[in-house]
Amino acid sequence: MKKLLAILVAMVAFTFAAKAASYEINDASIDALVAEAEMVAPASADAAATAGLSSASADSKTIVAFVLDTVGLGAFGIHRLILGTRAINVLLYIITFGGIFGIIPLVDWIMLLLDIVEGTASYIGNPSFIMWL
Amino acid sequence: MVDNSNRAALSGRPLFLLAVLCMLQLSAGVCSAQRLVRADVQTTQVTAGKKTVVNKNVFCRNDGTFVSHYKSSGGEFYIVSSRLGVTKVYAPATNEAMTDTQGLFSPKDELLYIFTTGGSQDLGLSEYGFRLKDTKKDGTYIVRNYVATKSGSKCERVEIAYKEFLPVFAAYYDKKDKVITKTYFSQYSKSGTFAFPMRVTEVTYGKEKNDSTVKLDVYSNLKVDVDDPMFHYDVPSTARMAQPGKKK
Repeated sequence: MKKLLAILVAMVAFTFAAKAASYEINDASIDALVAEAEMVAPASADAAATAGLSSASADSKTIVAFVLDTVGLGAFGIHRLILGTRAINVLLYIITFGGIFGIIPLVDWIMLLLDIVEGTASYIGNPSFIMWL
Repeated sequence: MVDNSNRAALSGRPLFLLAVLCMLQLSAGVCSAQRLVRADVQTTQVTAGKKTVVNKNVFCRNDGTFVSHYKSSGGEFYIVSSRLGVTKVYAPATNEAMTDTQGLFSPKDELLYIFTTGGSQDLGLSEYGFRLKDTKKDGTYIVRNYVATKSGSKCERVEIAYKEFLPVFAAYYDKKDKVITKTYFSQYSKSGTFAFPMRVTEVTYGKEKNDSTVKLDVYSNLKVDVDDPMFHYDVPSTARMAQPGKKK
């Protein structure tokens, strides 16, 4: 009986501990995740984008931008660099944590898809932060 | 009948009351003094194994004035929000500025702004129409649930956990009660009556498994009620104005 009671108390204590632990995060694991990630710098991204694609066609740029947005780099505004835009817009994607928490890259993705399907290249060189407005 | 001892006591009473009133006036003056809070912030966002790092200095007054100064290898710019709700973004390199009246760059999502303007207990949720639904105790934590009162909100419920009366965790749930984002507040710094988490980790969950974004804000150089010219920064009047989202 005592053993059963002890087990019950341990289970309850474990449940509480597990629930309480969910309110805190392991900072060391986050630091490790950050350390392992590859740095994407706006300047280097700009140089890579313009060096490789300056002579590409508008349709090619739209497709590349769409692919970059698909793989998650839209949050950094990299797809806008490919399409050609002001550097400030790329920084705004970053400081708004992925373009207003990811909403703008998501809509960008849809609009780029439509562009590809329709064969138009509507967003090349768009200087606006929100290119589809 | 008033004797000499009572007379002495009575004659001292007005002086005592005067002293108390003076102290109350002084303390009221101190309490109504404008709160100034500044900090340096390093924001690291990790998505799909890649990360960006943005450094900024933020300056906040409890009347709602908020200035952010961003510096990166890509450039430098300022975001200035007035207490009237108008935000201006300014890039010194090109002398360009744009005015935002749609709330795209509102400081209401900035944690320092929330804490400075008295929103630390509900993390500013009341500004977005959330109301407190229930409170419960979970071990050493107090847990509160807030629900949305406005329709059309992506977030339906917010759970906030407090430890020693300070928010340490917040989880945001959608209409299907699926978690959207979890935020962890830690390493609180206390300056007088102002407590602020110097490390904030935000995990946003994507639709696919292992498809989450981690954003880490590390604050430093936190100063409270120390004036700085940046608290009064404004966009130069000679800046060329542009509208966000204006068609080409």
